[in-house]
Amino acid sequence: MRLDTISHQIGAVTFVLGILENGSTRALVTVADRTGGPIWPPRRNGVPAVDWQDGTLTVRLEPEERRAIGYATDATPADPPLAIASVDAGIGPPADDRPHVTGANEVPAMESTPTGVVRALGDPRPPRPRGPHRSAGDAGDGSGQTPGRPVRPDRACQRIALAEALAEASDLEDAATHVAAAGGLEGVRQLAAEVRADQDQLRRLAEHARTLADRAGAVDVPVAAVDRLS
Amino acid sequence: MILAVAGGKGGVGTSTVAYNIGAELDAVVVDADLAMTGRPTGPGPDLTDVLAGRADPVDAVRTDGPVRVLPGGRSLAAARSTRPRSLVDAVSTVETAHDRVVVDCPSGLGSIVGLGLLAADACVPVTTPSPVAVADASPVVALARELDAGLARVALSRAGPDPPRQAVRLALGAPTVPIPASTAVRTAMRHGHPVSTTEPGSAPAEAFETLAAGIQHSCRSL
Repeated sequence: MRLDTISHQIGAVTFVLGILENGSTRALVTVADRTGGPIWPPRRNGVPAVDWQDGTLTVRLEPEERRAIGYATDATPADPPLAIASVDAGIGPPADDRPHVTGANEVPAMESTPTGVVRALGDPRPPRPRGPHRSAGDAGDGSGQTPGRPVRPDRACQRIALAEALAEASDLEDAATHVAAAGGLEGVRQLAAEVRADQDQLRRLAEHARTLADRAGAVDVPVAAVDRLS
Repeated sequence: MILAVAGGKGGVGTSTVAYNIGAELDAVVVDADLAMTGRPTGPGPDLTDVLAGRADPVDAVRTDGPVRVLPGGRSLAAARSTRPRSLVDAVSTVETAHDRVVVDCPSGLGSIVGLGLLAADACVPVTTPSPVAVADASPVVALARELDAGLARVALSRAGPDPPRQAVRLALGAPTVPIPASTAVRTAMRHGHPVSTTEPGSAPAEAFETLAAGIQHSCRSL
């Protein structure tokens, strides 16, 4: 392992450059700043691009690899400004002794805008409950709104909620999400018909419920009489 | 300053790290979970109300606890009514009012994590020493890079006596601060307190202090 260094002072700031040159085996090398001042490494987006810690930097070098290391400090130049602190030669490849990381491959390219992020990573909202409108062919399995069948309020509630969401969609993307949830354009047409049918049946159901409630209120169960007879 | 804390893998202690960093930095912690927040909250608007346009983000910040928090959502129905893209503006609005914000991102690599990172100036990935957790944190780091949220520090949670600090640092590419495994941290979190108030001077309290100092060092120029 070889390290060549140069330093250059401009005003109160010293710029240090080191070139590490590795031998024939993979190595983990730690270099240490000798100026004793604060380390100002290159920054990317405002945060250090290189991970110095306590005046040292550790890098992994492949066989024969050369690596440049640069930073600035307000200390006066030392000779040398940078030195090798330790070399761990002959280390294994990353997959052998440390977590193997392939994360970058899992992240799609995206535009750095909220819409770009949602487009690339998907709608984060939980899906709507699966309703009968999702498939035009499932009307016979008990989940669809078939003419003549008694309406199920929970199913109707799902259909109406989706219809409302569609009606209130504030932009194209929202609308597209709800159209997809309805099963496409055909699904939306079917949804419209089912919601109209829901309205009629729910009103009839409400009327029936009101009548039943009135009967329930009018009846007086003769508990005491039955008790005496038993 | 807006800092996103994200773990990739669930159950690695992301919320605990976010909450304790929030305490150290005197920041508002935005719980960016739309539906499954595990943090207890009282009545009042939460993030789903903010993202649905029903509440102002600043009004939704709870200031009565040891750490200021904008609570996450607790109902799937409420989550469905939101406009997630408005998270970026909401977080910026909270920053304008409170100066420092920590976004506690949910697990996975979904849009909310992306939106949190998009809003953030810097990111703290959280992982345990488990290689699986480190591998799951890796795409978060890649996403942070894609969205220009610089890596401030890596939080190595539930660290044992000899944490693989160097390996994690090499794998994820940022200085790594181990947070020792501790029942004190879990107990404090369960009662809604940072460990620095329940066990001041303890090893985990000092670790969070070190982590926060490192983050501030990284973000000094922001």
